[in-house]
Amino acid sequence: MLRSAFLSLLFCGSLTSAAQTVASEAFKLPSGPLNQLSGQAFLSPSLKAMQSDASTNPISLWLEQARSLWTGSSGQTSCAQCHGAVETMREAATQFPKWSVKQQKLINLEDQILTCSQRTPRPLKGLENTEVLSLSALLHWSSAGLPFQISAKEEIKQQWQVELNAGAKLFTTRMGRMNLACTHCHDLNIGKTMRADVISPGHPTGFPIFKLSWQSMGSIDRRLRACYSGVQAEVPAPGSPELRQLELFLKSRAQGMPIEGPSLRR
Amino acid sequence: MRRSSLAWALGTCLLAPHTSVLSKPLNELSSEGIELVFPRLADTGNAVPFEAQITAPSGLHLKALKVILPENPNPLALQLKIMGEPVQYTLKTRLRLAASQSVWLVAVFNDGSERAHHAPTVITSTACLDDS
Amino acid sequence: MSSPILTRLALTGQVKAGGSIEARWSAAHPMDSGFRVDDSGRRIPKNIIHTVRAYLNDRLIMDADLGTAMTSPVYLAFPVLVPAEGGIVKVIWQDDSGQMGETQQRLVI
Repeated sequence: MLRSAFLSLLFCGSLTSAAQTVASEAFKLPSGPLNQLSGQAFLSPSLKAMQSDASTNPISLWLEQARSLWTGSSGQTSCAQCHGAVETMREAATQFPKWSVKQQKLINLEDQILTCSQRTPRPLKGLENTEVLSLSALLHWSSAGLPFQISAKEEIKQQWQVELNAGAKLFTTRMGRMNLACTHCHDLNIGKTMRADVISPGHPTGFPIFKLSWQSMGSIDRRLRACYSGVQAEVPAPGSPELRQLELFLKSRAQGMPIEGPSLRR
Repeated sequence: MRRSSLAWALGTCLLAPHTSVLSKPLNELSSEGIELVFPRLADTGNAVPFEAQITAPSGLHLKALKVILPENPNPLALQLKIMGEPVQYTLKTRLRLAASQSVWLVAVFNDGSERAHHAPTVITSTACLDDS
Repeated sequence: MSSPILTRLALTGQVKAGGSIEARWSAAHPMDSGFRVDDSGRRIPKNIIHTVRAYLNDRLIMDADLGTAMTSPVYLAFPVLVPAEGGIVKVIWQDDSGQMGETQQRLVI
């Protein structure tokens, strides 16, 4: 592929195209311990530039949709009617996943948004629904700078520990045709390249993400499912308990790292 | 080499309905006054940022722009008619590329003359299969 | 088909009479090329924004025809010459399903 690109350059007759600016400089990781870097450090300069300005960042569209949904300016039932101003929900995104006593399972922020919406005249369906993702984006945006604060009340601490242990076990268990565990790449081989990807520690500080290769926003649930397909393992259905357990483990592993708000990824 | 010349021939064939409105084949047009900003390595084929800065030859102004991706199933990505007789113009957008290729920018001026420039990119894809 | 498409128009740069600012327009449109298939193997029909027109004080300044090579969400940035009296920049779009929309921003000197 590279060879034909080179040859087509020759064919086009111009090896020294002085009038072409190379938009992306060589990508470099910062110095220091790699295992504490968020995905932000692994963005190309081109993506960093796109993300830095609200007028070029695709996420702005989702945030604006969410603000209008929250305050109900489009004439529908609004979140503000129950929850008040979104500023008062600043800590919400830092506290998920939670153990739901009612549903007897771990739920994350997108699950909670779906549940909330069932109480309105306009219930939403599907974790990757645009409105669910835009509301999640707005709530994470409000929490930007705050660290994850995952904890369990005394009465559910035991169940909590069971879920966390399950997540830790999943992270260190080999799976798929490639027979790899998450830890093999995301703990032991951070900074190494696979094709044009540089392996990150996989911290969940930038969700929900706008992934350019998806051409849409997506939740942590979707991204973890993509990881399963990445090692050629059977992909769990959206909302599966293992995905929530992994999310719980990842956020515990990232304790103290600040939420970055919804972020771009390639 | 054969693959590349086949691709070039195919690209030219696909361009045929569009080149009928151009006075010359693209690679015979001067590229003076056109600067393109296009990554050498694209993060993903699904969204490649593209910028074109055009300065019209003296005495002329810009009337239209075309963005062409010869290896895409529909090569004519964007066509702009410009009013207001500008002598300088900066266009920015994001393109979807079906394969590694050069993007072509054709500028049309008020006397009917054209200039064109191109910039190559290599599409990189994610290392891991994404079935989400 | 009829869910509203959110668009965004930002005017960036120093606003000076006779100078030029950059209008950055984006639209959260799926821009379905017609080449994708859904999970059951059925082809998703083509539905892209095919026309974008920009007006300054109701005068057409830019008329764009978009093809399937435009990314979703669509992003287009182009210059706008600032008139002495300022004014309104309006961008309208239309897609293959016939849906249309418009956004405007005021240019204040």
